[in-house]
Formats: sequence, C-alpha cells, structure tokens
Amino acid sequence: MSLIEVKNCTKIYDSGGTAVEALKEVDLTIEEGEFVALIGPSGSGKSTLLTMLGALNPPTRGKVLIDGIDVYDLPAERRADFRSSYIGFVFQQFQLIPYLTAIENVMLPLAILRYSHAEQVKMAENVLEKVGLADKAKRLPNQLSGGEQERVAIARAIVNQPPIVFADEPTGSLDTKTGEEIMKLFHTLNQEGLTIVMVTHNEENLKYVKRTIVVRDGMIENSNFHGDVA
Amino acid sequence: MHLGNIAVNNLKVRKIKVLFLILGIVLGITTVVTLTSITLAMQEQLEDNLNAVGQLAIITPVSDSLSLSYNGVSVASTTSYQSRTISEKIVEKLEDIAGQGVSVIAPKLVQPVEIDSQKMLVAGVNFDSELRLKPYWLVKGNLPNTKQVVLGLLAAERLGLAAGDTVDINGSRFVVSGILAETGTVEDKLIYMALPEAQRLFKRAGEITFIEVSIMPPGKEDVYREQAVIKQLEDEFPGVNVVPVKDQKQARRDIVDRFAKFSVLVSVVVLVIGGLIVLTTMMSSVKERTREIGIFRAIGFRQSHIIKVFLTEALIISIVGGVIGYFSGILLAKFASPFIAQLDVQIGWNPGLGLAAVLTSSFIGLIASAYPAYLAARLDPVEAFRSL
Ligand SMILES: Nc1ncnc2c1ncn2[C@@H]1O[C@H](COP(=O)(O)OP(=O)(O)OP(=O)(O)O)[C@@H](O)[C@H]1O
Ligand SMILES: [Mg+2]
Repeated sequence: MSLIEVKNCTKIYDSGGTAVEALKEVDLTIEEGEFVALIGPSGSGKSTLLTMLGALNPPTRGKVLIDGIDVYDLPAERRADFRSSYIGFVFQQFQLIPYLTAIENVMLPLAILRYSHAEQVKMAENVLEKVGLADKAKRLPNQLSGGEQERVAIARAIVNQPPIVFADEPTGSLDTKTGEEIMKLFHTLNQEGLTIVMVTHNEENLKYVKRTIVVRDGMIENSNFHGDVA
Repeated sequence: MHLGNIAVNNLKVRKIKVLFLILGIVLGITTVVTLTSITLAMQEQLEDNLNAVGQLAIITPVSDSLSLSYNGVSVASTTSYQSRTISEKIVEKLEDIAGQGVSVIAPKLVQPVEIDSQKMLVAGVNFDSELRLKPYWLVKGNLPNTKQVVLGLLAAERLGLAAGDTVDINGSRFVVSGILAETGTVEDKLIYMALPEAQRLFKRAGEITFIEVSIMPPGKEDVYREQAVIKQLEDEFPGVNVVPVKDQKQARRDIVDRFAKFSVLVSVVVLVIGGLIVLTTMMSSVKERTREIGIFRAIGFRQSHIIKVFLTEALIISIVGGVIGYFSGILLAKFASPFIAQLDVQIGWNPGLGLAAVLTSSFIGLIASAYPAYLAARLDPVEAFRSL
C-alpha cells in the first residue's frame, strides 16, 4: 500500500460564478520516504494538488487515500484530527502567529493534544535544536530573519512527528543562500524518513529531491524519479 | 501552551482593539449598574417611607355631586364654587382622642381659585402635620412663611413658576418659597400655604374642608382594626364621612415603577449598543486574522478549537469590562443619585449586583461573539491562504 494515493481527482473552483477546473482527473501515488517536488507554471494547479493531498482541500470528484484512509470521507472535525497527527504544513511567508514567540509557535500543534506544558516545551526545544534555532526560542517572529522564520515553521510542522510534510514554495521569499540551507534541512529530514511533498519554482531546489512532478493545466504532465544527491 | 494562552497572547498585542471592546462592555454595564442601584435605592427609600406613613384616612363632611377633588374628596361643587366645610372644633376633639387609633391630624382648607385664568386649588395646611403624615414630601426650597406658598410640581409647571417667583392669589401677592417634589398624586397639582393664612385670605375663619389622619400606626396595618376605628370616628362625629386612602401608596410606587421601567429600557438599549460594538469589532478581528485561522486549521485545529479561542478572548474581555463597569457604575450612582432622585438612602457596594454585572457582561460578550466565532471556524483554510 502506498502512503498517498490520489484516485481520479478533479477539482472545480467556483470563481465568482464561473467554474475553474484546477485539477483534471489526476492520478498519483507517493510512497513512504519520498521527497517530491511539484513544479509547473503559475496557475497550473500545484497548490490545489498540495492542499488536496494535505487533507485541506476536498476534490470535487475522486478520492485521496493516506495510509489507506479515505481522508475526505472523514467528517470535518475528524479530518482536522487527521491533519494533526499525519500532516505538517510549511508555507511561503507570514506563516507564524505574530503574537507568539518562536517556541510558542512550535508548540501550537501540541496545544490541542494531551501533552503537559513541560512535555510541550521539551518537544519544541528538541525540534528547534534540530533546525538550529535553540538560541532564538523566545523571539517573536518579527525579531527573526526570513530564513529563521522558515525554520521555525519547519520545526512547527515536524514537532508532532507526522509522517508527511507538505511545503508550498518554502524558499520562494528567501535569498539563494538561505534557500539552499532550508533545502538542506528538508533533505536531512527526508533522510531521517520523513515523506516530503514540496511545490517549488526554483530549479536549483530540484537537486535535493528524489522525484519531480510537472503539473500543467491541472494535469500531471510528467513524473520523473532521479537519483539521490547525497 | 493551550488554547487559553493563544487568546491571552493575542489580546496582549491588540491593545487598541481590546480597549475598544472593553469600552463597549463598560459603557453598557456602567449604565445598567448605575440605573439599577439607583432604582434599588429608590425602592428601598420608598418602602421606608411607605412603612412610615401607616394607613391614612380622610374625614369629610357628607356631601353631594361635586367636581374638583382632592385625593378622591370633592372640595367644590360645580355650581356654587363653594364647598361644605366642617368646623375646626372637630380637630380639637380629634386631638383629645389622639392615641386611640388616630395619630397624626392634618386639617386642610381647600379653595378653588383662578390664576391667570387657570382653575387651581389652594390648600391651607398645617405643614408640621403634613410632613409627619407624608414622609415622602420633599420641598425643594423652604417651607412657606407669611405671604409665601409652596407649589406642587404640576402646579408650578402649569403656572410657569419657580422658587423665588411671585404669584397673585385672590388679590394678594405671594412669594413661591419652594416646590414640592413629585408625589405622583393629586398633591402635585396644588398650591400650599399655611392654614391660618388660607382662612384669612378666603375669609373662612374656623373652617376646614377635610382632615387627613393616620388611623393606623406604621407597620401595623390591619383591615379589621381599620374598620373599627373608622366606625368609631363616624359614631363620634355625626355628619362626617371617614374614607380610608387606598391609592396613596400605589401612587408612590408608580413613580418608582416608572423609573424602574425607564431604567430597564435604557439598560436594554445600551447593552444592545455594547453588544453591537463587540460584534463589529470581533467581525473585523476575524477578517484581520483570516490567515492566522487558516494556519490553525492546517495545523489540525478543529472548528471547535477556533471557536474556543475566540470565545475565550470574548469572555476575558467581558469579565474585565463587567468588573470595571460595576465599579464605575456604583461610583456614578453615588455621584448622580442626588441629582436624579433626591435619595436619602446611601448607595453602597453591592456584591450581588457585581456578580450580576459580570454575568450580564459575559452573556452579552459571548452572544455578540458567537457569530464572529462561528464565521472564523467556518473559514475555508484554502481560501485563507489564497487571500495573501
Ligand atoms: N479558492 C479558489 N477559488 C477559485 N479559484 C481558485 C481557487 N484557488 C485556486 N483557484 C484557481 O485554480 C487554478 C489553480 O490554482 P493554484 O493556486 O492551484 O495554482 P498554482 O499552480 O499553485 O499557481 P502559483 O504557482 O501561482 O501558486 C488557478 O486558475 C486559480 O486561479
Ligand atoms: Mg501556488
């Protein structure tokens, strides 16, 4: 059984009265431990596919199975619980809660789970250490650089040890060097067993991934596996 | 870290918004607490006064079809403009039997007059007895001396007179020494002067139109005893009627009830306004936090978690607003009550009212935030990220 199975998924948005077909009968499987990049022109449906895989965006038709669970068959609150335990999200920018410190942002996914405060702090400190920000735990997001904010977001995505992390253009707003560092971090996490699906516009990033999927006009045009760089 | 921390931390950074929300709540609760504590004090004072009055009765001559009346007692016939009177001697006899049921004796001479072509009633009274009989009488200004009168509130309004003005009655000039605060009874329509002055002015020496007496001591009202006293009086003084005054207390209660109703109305209006302030502020807050809500949802927060965060914020603000509103309301009531209701009763801290204030503000805050919280929970996280 594959970790993620997309079965004949179509997504039609209603954009002010006109129907926009963002995804057209997409089939896709992703195995545990993969590091996948979604690329393609703007508006091709990458983010739609990513959020659909991430149990956030129900398809108009079709099924998404994760770990054998038909996620859009779950009632909304159960699907939220599913995200809580299976999925981490990393977005491009402005994704930290501005009034919470770095460590509080990282603890956020734990706030709805049964962990004591001490356990939460310990888990958050561990992942902050892992992303190299142990010394900036008490800072507010606006006291952190763009790359540091991205690291906090990654720490938050993995703090509850989900099997899969979805990232939408995580290096999009970063300079080349910082972007490299973030990609190296993702690479390390993938080596440790994390399944990662990432939307990216940056060709440079592709050298870190194991597979590239090209999305065009709501369809998967091409899916290439390539060798691991490391 | 739990949902409450998220709420608290958010409130800490949104100072202006929080201030605005608290202000909305404080406004409403202050008004409610002020009006409620004044109403309560008025009711307390009223009951004190009513209890001090006892049961009143009016002793009148037996008479026929008449028009002008005083507390249900006719004082002048339409045709003659003269009423029957009783002799002042009864007063002396009454004083002899004072203590056997009858206590305060307040004789009156009531005379219709025309002032500025308006028909008015002048009452010559004994102010000492009058004030003992009616502890609720409150004269703003002074009691009248020679050539002075006190006006009932409605009489003053009708004649357009205030304390210090002069008024011509039956060819003599009088100075208005004071105005009687509203009693809610016919007493508001009268012009009062000392009894001997009235008897001189109207050339009716020794005459009395009727006598108000207290036939029951305060707090000892008893219908059977009352009837016995009335019968005894009618036996003793043939040719007079003794009528117990029934509507006096009700009239007094009506004034307070009117204020209570007014208070409730104003309270409801300001609470609704406060609620609307909370509603609109919360709505704009949900809009501003669209992205944040999307992140919460992506992380795995349930809709109910989002609602909890928003309602916790609303509850914190409401409780703070309720407490502040309670204190400012009591202080305002202490300050304003002399101007609003001439209260002798001291307005004090009232823990029960405090609790009610906080419960009310929490209720309003939660109700007003329910819809914004629901909208926040219903936000589509995908939309939330798109609108960036
Ligand atoms: N919530 C929505 N409502 C209506 N239309 C939408 C919505 N989200 C996306 N679309 C439309 O669906 C199509 C695919 O959008 P999507 O965001 O998935 O593209 P993308 O590949 O991520 O583009 P980009 O590279 O610019 O981020 C676009 O035409 C877009 O306008
Ligand atoms: Mg996109």
